[in-house]
Amino acid sequence: MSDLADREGPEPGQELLRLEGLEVHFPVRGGPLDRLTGHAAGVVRAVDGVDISIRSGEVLALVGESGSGKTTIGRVIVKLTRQTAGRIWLDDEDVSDLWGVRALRTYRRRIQIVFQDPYETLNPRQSIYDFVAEPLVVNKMVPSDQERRRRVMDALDAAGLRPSEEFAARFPHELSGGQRQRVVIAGALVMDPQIVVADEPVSMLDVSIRTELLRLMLDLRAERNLAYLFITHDLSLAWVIADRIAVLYLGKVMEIGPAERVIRSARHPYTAALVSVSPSPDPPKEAGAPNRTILVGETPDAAHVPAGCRFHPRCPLAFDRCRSEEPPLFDVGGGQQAACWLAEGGRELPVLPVAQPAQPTPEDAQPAPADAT
Amino acid sequence: MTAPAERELPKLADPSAPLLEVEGLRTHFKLGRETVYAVDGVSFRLDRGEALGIAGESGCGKTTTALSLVGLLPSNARVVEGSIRLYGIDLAGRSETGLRRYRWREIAMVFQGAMNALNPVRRIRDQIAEPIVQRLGTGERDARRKAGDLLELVGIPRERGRAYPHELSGGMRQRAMIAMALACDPAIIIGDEPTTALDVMIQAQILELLERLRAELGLSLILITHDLSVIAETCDRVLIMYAGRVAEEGLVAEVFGHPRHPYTQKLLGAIPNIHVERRVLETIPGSPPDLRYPPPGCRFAPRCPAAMEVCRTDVPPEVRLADGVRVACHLYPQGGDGTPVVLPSGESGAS
Repeated sequence: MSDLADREGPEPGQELLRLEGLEVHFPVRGGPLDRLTGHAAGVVRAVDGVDISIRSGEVLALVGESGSGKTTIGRVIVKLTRQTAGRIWLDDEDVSDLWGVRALRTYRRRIQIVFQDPYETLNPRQSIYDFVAEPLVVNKMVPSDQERRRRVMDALDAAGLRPSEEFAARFPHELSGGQRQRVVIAGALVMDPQIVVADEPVSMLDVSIRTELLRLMLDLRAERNLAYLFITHDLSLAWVIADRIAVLYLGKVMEIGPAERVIRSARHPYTAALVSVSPSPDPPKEAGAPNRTILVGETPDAAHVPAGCRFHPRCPLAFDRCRSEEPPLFDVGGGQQAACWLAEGGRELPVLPVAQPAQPTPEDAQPAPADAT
Repeated sequence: MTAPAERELPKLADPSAPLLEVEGLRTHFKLGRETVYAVDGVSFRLDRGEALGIAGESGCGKTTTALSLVGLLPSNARVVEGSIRLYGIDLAGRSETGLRRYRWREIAMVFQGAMNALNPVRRIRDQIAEPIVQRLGTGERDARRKAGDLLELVGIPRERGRAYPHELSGGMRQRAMIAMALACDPAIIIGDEPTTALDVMIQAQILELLERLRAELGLSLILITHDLSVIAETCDRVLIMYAGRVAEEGLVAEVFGHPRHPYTQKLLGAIPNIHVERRVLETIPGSPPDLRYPPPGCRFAPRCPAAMEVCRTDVPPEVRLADGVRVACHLYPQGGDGTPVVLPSGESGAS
């Protein structure tokens, strides 16, 4: 079993998938007047220029709050959402314009997705065998029944559902929550993919069951050299499972790098604030309150992205330049990059003030679009 | 808003009694012909100004316990035994109308999904004003003014009170829910997973708000959550539940610092903690028992690494240790000195 501790970083695998300048902009439907005149009322910039790559056998965590664009990026990678700009490369092939069931057959074999809620993914009237076999049937991959059966049993076995023959005959309601999520994982494994996009795969599970699932995912990585794009809102979870962490805010990468470096020596104020408010199960020290930096307000709506650095209105360290110029991702060494003017030239991040949250202003109360996550 | 000492106590209240004292609470559900022993002998106490966390995994009975306190149980559930004393007044077994005078005015509840708990077609200001008019008999105008005050208290500008729930973000809706809970100036607020659906930064804001309200208004708080980290950071005492019973209860510093019950140890060991070194996370094999057929002895015995013969046959008594921690586990016999009779193999607390 893989440990969920003291893991060495990945042997630098080959780059498998690369996103270049990825953008997903949705038009906002306006009122009747806008529709008459044919003007779009605005644009929601769900993903707004993202460059990341996934190497074979690595776990890359995509961390962000609602409205960060993390789920949209996952959907673009598995071709459920169309990008509006930017390119996607798989190996050295440009797959940006690959669309349609037939064209995507090979692509889908290599990249699979696991969703958050096994209750929604599984069909209550479908047996476990039929669910796991479905992708093989849909993609016309295995013609012989015997071969298909073998692949399904192997996948169930690999997902820890043993004896596989017994589980194959069951229905979702006969399984526990943890077992259902294993079934969903088996449904991805049956295609023998190289990359699995896992969107909040354990957030519905109790902690005691969660660890088993995370271990299973790491075991599968070790056995099959699987790569994961692990999408989560929970930085602590990302830190436990990921080799690298990318922190997203309002459609852009704020910081990316090896997990240990991003958590222990964050170079972006947003990451540092997130780390500071991540709760700890240890009893509070006698010294008093922990040094939490609670940011004021909420993530703005992606239809109104602030000028300059998009994080500046909430940043406790913002200065003039941040209001007018958007910082690029600066290399700060050790494979870590941060999109902050303070990180220019690899500088250390100053200590964040321990913020006393003020009363939010009416602007903060703008609802963030729930569908842009 | 009145300070705790000036609060007018309900009729029949005994001013020397503890704020809330729950003893031997049993709440069972009827499922067809079967009985689900959801809460099966739970006792605890809440003092004035205190924050108590009730923690446990899905199905441990933490929400059912809370709903029993405010009489909001579903129709197939019933408090079958035990007492719930508020200032010494027993609320258990009271009719819906008998409980109404205490809900909102003494004990108010904040739920997880604010979107479902708020009325989508009414302005939030009016929703907050409603219990003030109905329960306190305040005039419409004054009630609306008070609703505006409450909104400001929870960090929403009063003019936003004209908004409908869908016009507010998740965090703002949760603040509005808290304002509504405060409407009748209650002594106790129960938060049932009040931050679970929220982003971590918004969660921090809401918890900070609850802490501030507790200090400023002298509120007592019961925080129900599956997230032990949230309790570690906001509560004075913690009650760990497993399968309808109390596993361990005590001061947060004691229980989280030196967990005694094997379940607490495992549970704490399963939580990722970003602030310390990466460690091997614990798993607890198996799953909680079906509460229609709970095991005869300790309910955790089938999954417990330290289970002994006696654990499978006898229900462990609740034992109060020297540091005030209460634990229900055969490792800690009555009259013992708090050291376990047999050390669980390879177990050294949560670290």
